[in-house]
Amino acid sequence: MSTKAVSVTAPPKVLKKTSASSVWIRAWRSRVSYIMLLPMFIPFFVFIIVPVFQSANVSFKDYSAVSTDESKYIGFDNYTELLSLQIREQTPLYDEESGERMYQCGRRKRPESEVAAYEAEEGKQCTVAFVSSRDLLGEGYREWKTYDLFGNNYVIGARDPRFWTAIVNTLYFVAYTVVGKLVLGLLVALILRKQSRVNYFLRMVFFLPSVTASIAVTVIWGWIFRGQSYGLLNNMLIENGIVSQPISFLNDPGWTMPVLVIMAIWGGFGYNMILFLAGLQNINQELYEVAAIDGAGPWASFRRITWPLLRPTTLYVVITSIIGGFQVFDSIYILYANSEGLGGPLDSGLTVVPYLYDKGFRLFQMGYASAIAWVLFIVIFFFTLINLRVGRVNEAY
Amino acid sequence: MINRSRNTILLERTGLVFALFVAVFTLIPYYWMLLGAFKSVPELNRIPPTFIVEKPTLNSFYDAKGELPPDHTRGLFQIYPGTEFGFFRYLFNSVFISASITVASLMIAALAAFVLAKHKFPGRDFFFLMFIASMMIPWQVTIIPNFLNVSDFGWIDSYWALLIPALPKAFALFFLRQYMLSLPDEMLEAGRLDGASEFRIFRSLVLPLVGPALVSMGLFIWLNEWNNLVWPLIVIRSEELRTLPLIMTTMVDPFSGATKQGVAMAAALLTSIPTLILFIAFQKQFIQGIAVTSVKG
Repeated sequence: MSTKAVSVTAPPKVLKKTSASSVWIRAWRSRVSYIMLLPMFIPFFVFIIVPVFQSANVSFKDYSAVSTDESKYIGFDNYTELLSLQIREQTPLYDEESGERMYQCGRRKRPESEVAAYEAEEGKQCTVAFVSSRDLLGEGYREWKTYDLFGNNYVIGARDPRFWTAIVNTLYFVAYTVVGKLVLGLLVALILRKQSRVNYFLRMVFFLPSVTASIAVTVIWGWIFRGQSYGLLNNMLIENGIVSQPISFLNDPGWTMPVLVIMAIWGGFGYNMILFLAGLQNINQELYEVAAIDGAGPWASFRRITWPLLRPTTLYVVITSIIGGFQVFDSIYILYANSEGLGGPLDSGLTVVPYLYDKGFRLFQMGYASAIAWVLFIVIFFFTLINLRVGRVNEAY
Repeated sequence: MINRSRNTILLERTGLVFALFVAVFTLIPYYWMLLGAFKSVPELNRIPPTFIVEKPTLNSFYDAKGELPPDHTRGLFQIYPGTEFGFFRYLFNSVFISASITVASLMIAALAAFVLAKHKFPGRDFFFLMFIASMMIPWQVTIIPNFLNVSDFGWIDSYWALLIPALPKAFALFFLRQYMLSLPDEMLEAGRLDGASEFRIFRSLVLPLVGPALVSMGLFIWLNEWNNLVWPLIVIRSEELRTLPLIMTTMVDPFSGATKQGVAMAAALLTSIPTLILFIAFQKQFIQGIAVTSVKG
């Protein structure tokens, strides 16, 4: 039968030189292989390969619901809009006529000579007034943040301040979740290292959040963190006299990121524990016995044996947690789908992927959202490369 | 000598106490969910909350007395009158979609993995490299063009939109290929000499031998699809095609009262139970899947 042709590849002697025709002959003989590859390859090509190029293409276009010409190329405009930052020193404001320094008193600006009278009368402090940031920053820039550094005041302007807010929040989220999941995962892995029934049970408990539908879990956390008095956490805090008024964990901008971080650590440390347990298994037990004979205590053997030999696992854990952290979406969407712009109170919970979703699928600025996706891709790609390089080093030793 | 071992014991004890503490932290949300799902309306509204359900009831799932405040509510299976079969339909959607994607994507990935592991043909390494490279691309990059394409195909708001784009799973192919590389060539050759076609060899020789790998990968895919929120969010419009993650997005309402939380906990319980059952049944494969994929990265 023709299917047999697959195994009957011509002996290597005949094919010393690969001429063009022989490639086609071999390809024809291997037609069964191609046919078996096709069911995977066709959807792969249509839904992954082609979209990558389409996405790159769209990111250079003004492709949005409002644009009349969807095919209009605008070069790098989406990217410059996204990434432009400007830092300006804030200069004090002087009165144009008298040359007096101006102060911000309540809503109005007053010259220096009137400040004392105002403060005495109203009982409020006045602050130094600055030239408005709109006049300082270039066209198209809006104030993102102001900073006080060594007595000088700076204003940072961005063309898209929300994007930079999302970046900062994402970095915060990544930093805390990576460290939290790493430390907790490693600790419990070390504690549960020995094989015993109790340890096995506890491992299963810690791994549970990794296999529970994360969507469902967020809903439960939503109730635990609820601001009203029947939220579980608030209730316990009030009952134990730690706070007197319920804290609105979900509506207070200061609490948004901590809550998201706690949820992420809860959901992810068990997964890291499994990876660490696998890494610990590969460490030769004799090393510890030798160390014990030499008089090494638990800390010394951890520092000299466990930690160095776990390094490949640790790096893998860190990199995958970083990549995962940059892509956080579900928990934010579940908690803040109703908030304007998908960022929680005052954008305090806005991270990159929800921002991408907001731009692409709520405001339908597909070109702009694609540019966000590519910026994210480049960041993630950077960490993937580190992972690959580190992986090669591991194999070497 | 004695001193050190005493220190070690102390360290182990402290470790265990710490682990138990973390276990409580891990289990609290589950316990709270169970409490909430089976509490009656007056108990849900009680402040401070009870930590043992006094009168367990199924009212958050189905309340035969219907809407009779203050003591009754409408259960999870009653609050979707617009959809035929109500919540059952959403449960079915999620099971159907996740199961179909798991089976179909595993089959096509295994077929391709077999070819890439055991056949020699022009372009093989190129295909393999392409699959591998695609694993570095985050879904955020392809989601916008995929939405536009699926719209062009006319699949928006249909099962097709949920099923077809989810089929190609490069990581499954990679994982299965690594596994298949270790299969002995002699065995396959023996099959060929017996006149079996390549498809037959795949089906009767290869598939049974890679069973454990298929189970590990299948669980992994199932879990991801069961949790998939973004894609249905984008392509599904009509109520009856919603999947469980879409239902869960309606469950966190900052202004709703405690009563509604009972229904939310019931929904969370039913959403998490299927994966938990799978986990308990296949613990080993779940954990092997993770450990093995990570070693090769």
